[in-house]
Amino acid sequence: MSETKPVRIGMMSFAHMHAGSYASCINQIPEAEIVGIADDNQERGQDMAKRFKTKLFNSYEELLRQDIDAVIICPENIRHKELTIKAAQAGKHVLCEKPIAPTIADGRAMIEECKKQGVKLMTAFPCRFSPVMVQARQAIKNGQIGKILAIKGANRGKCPGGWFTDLSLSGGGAILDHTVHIADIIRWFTGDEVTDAYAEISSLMKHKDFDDCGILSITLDSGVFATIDPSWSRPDSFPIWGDVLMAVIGTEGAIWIDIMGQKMNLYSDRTMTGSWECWGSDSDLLMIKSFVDSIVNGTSVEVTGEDGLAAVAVALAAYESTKRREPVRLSEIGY
Amino acid sequence: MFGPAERVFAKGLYFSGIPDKDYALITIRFKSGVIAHVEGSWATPGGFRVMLEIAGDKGLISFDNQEAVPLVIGKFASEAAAGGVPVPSSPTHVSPYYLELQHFIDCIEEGRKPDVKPEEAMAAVALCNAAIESIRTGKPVEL
Repeated sequence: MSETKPVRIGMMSFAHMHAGSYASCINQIPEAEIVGIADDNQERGQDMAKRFKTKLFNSYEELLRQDIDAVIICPENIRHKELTIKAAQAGKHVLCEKPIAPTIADGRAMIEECKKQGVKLMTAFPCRFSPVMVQARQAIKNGQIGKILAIKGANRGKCPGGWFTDLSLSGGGAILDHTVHIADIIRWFTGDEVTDAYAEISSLMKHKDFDDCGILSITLDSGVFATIDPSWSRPDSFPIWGDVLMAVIGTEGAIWIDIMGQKMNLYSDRTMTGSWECWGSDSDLLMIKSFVDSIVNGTSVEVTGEDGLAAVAVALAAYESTKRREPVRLSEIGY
Repeated sequence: MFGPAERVFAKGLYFSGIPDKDYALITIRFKSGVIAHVEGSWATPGGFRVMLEIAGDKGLISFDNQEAVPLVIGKFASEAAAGGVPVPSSPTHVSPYYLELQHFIDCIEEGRKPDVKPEEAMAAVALCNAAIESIRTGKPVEL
């Protein structure tokens, strides 16, 4: 690849709404361009092709036959494996939406195929690219709060509805959807691996057949303990989609993080609501840039498929724990 | 508020031997099905903090004492030891401690039972003991 040629990217499915954000990020980066999209929902595909001024291909296979370097994969969770393996076998680098897969087996198959085909596999964890998180991690690494003792993390949101609440397509509700973000940040902050998880999980918010609230308690191999609140517990009237909050307790101090803390309050008579408008840096954009840079420079991705799977394993252990009513080691669920 | 607790799981520093610091993260499952998460901390700088959130299926209530600050008195460095120190406060017409004592006196004078029953205080202590037991054993404790 010549230095002037932008990285050519294909978009595989817009089922996950983050795909729209990623596509608009690519359009903001001179080093990358969208070559086209494919979507098993043709109508959605046409809308997105128009919105992002690109071409809609009739099938994933046709998209993968184009001269593209990489794909961004955002279908329903259960289709991550199928599309990732297709893309890897066509020799394309992959950025896959989180959770990387709804099962350990799917995640492993994706990682192995990408390795076999010599393509990069990156998990979309934008929180890692938030300058707030980067600075917090730097403070931890510099020893500003001494040795970490405990971590409290939360990623609460509104119930997303759609396929997210159809377990046959998502593989899990709030616990799978949100645990992975915080579990990943905890691994990234500490450099530790999660050894076990205990969880109380329920469907108390919407009273349907999918999990929408819970609290996880996890232990790291260093002995540090942490809790994660991944609930879809923000009401529809909440002024923003959700939050990412963390408290890191150390021997010499503590760090509190509110990733949405850079916000303004907006009160509008047009919508008759108040809302929080975030003005902080766009983590999605920084993440897409990182993915593109890794392709341009031939370097490793900053968040690997293995990172994605490690986070999924925490959520899966939590589901098992709530059935057994005891802490479950990640090794017990095949991780 | 949510009735009796069914099960408690807790992680904490209680048995860690770290001097002058304690920190615990507790999950309580109530018989009603409600899930509660409690953070208890003697491990963080920055003064007294109380946060409460109740998430329901039709709405959310949240409170943070560090946001409920109707009065801040700021002083320049000359009047403070090191640097200007703003002192936040949340004055109320009648102190909650006064209200508590007044209620106790009223109960004695009028022969009424106090709003906080000793059984409830016992239940709170039992919950705390269950949490400590869970920290010690690493297992959930059924109540």
